[in-house]
Amino acid sequence: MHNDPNANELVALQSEVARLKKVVAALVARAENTSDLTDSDFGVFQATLLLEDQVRSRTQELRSALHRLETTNRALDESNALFQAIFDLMPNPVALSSMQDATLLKVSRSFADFFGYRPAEMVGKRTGSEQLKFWSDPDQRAQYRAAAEAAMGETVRFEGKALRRDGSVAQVVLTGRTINVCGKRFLMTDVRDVTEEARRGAHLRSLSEHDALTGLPNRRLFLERLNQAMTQARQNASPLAVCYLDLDGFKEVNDRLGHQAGDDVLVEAANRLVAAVRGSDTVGRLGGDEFAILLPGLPASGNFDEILRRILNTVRRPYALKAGSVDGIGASIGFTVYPDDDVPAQTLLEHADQSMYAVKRAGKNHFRRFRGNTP
Amino acid sequence: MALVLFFCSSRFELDELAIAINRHFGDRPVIGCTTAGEIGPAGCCEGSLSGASFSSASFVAGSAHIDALKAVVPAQVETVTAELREQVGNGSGDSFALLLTDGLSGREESIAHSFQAALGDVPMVGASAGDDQRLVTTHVFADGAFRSDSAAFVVLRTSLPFKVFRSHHFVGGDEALVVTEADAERRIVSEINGLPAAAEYARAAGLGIADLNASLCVRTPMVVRIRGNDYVRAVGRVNADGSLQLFSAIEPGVVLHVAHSVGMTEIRRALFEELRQHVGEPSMVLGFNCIHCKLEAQIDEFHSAIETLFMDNHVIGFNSYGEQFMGIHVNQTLTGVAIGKTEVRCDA
Repeated sequence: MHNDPNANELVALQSEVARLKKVVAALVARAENTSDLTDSDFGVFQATLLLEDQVRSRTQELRSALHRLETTNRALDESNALFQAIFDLMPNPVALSSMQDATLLKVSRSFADFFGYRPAEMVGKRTGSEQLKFWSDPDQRAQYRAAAEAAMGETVRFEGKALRRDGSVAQVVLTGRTINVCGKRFLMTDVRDVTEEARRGAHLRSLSEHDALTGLPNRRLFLERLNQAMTQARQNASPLAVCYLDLDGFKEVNDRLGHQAGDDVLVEAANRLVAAVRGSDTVGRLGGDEFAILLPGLPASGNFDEILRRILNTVRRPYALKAGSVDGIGASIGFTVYPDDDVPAQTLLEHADQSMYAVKRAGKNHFRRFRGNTP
Repeated sequence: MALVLFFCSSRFELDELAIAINRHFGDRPVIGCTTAGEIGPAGCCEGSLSGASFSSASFVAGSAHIDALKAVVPAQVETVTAELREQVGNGSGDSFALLLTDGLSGREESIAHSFQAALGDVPMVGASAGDDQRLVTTHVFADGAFRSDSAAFVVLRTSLPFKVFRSHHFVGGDEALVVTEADAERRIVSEINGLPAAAEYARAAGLGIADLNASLCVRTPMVVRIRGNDYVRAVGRVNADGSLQLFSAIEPGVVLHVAHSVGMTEIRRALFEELRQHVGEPSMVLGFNCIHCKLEAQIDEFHSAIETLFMDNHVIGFNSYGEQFMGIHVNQTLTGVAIGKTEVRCDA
């Protein structure tokens, strides 16, 4: 058994070990010197490549960041356009403003149109600023915002007068609600133009309070005015009189000449009554051929004969109708005086009515004051 | 004429050629260099002169040169680059840069790096001058004279479409060849894996030292691998002492791999197709084809296919001792810039 390597093999092995050591040493020396690559030409080559690599990957990163940015911007644009489209679809003009400084952030086209601006002229400006005066009464702006603030996210309804760019004023109802987005507070306002509605409402109210034929206040409005006048009478210690007037001979005209002639008599009689009293007096039609007259602000020692006679006389004059001249119309008037007759308005009217019937029974064409329920 | 570029054989009487050029072009800027073969409309030639002019209608050019490359410092390149950029100005169109440098100075890495660093976003391509494979002295023509140990720098701004490119076709094997002794300054590798360089290179390539010749060097060059990419370190010559003369920087501790070609013709055909997609029908392709690529094509008898590709794509250029691309100096590549015919429209 000769296991030991011979001398030549030993030399060969030693030389191989030395060679490998040299390889390792070269690698180690270079590896350890890479901190300063630019010292040698190869180092410059390598550094440039690595730099180019970095630049390429950085460029790639930038490009993809740019792409992401573009994508985000596009999404943002789309989102904005969608937001605007939804805004524009709202049935009423709408606007979004900052709660902090009242800057308008978005307005619907109808909002801009309503106030007479272009959207671009409104967005970014503060409501109430020189360029954007929305309120006929500037205090209402602060009141509305305070109300929205106080509502704490609940819907607030606010009626006011809006000022348009052309100076016209519109009656509006604002519906506002504050919203919280990303820590910022906004006010979403919906504007409803109620100018027309208000006008129509006033007309309807007038219809419900007046007699369609003569245009005189009906029973409801008459009683309302009577109530007001009673309050005034107490305060001023000046009595008022309530008269109940029924036309005499009216039924005959109606029967003989027809309803149209009857109506014509009623209208004419109403006009004469109004002409016979003061502007502060109220003539009402209670129904049929019955009228009521409110005479407020009379002297304490009131003598009513004169005015009542004047009324009787004016009613008695002939009526020139299309069907011909009509005579024989007269009036029976019962009246009572408040606060001598210290009863509620409705009762005052009943008392006057009772006296009027007493006149009728006594032969018509006269007047009588109510003197209590016992005749 | 914004600029004249020419590439000529080193066999010309250079002084007389310079006189002729100066007489012909007068004050117009002319830049050129000697070669290891010329490429032009007549195909691939030797002992000839090829060139191109850049019309002032489509180009604004700035050019300068630096002598005494061995002593050059980055600051000089920065100064020259700043001058060029000033000459070219900031008008419409985009810019690219050209570098023609002495092929035996051994300073390409440093100069290419400094030039590209000073250029910033402007892409740079270049080539090392040749001397018809004598490896004695190479010249760059600038400022009316042929100069050795010199580099010419050019910046061109144009409204024509262009595309810079670098094409290579070698992939290294797995075996690591560690440079254990080298003269970095002279780019000489004397030992690989602790053994005489030439013999170890031959062994790794599967041959005996006796079979190591120019053919082997061009067909199975060595590459360095950086971040997974292979870069050829061309062997220019096998020295009598068993050392290897490389065409690019080397130093101890660098790991080399023997590489094989993956098909130059197909890769270049694809390259030209891609270039056409970028610039359309090229008016000209400035091409710097490493002398080893030419030799490889000749040895493996596909040179005519390459030559046809060059002619079909209007390549003007030369066979170089190395190529520069975006700040690096490489070997055994085709590097250059393709220039289109139609103006780039602003609204395109």
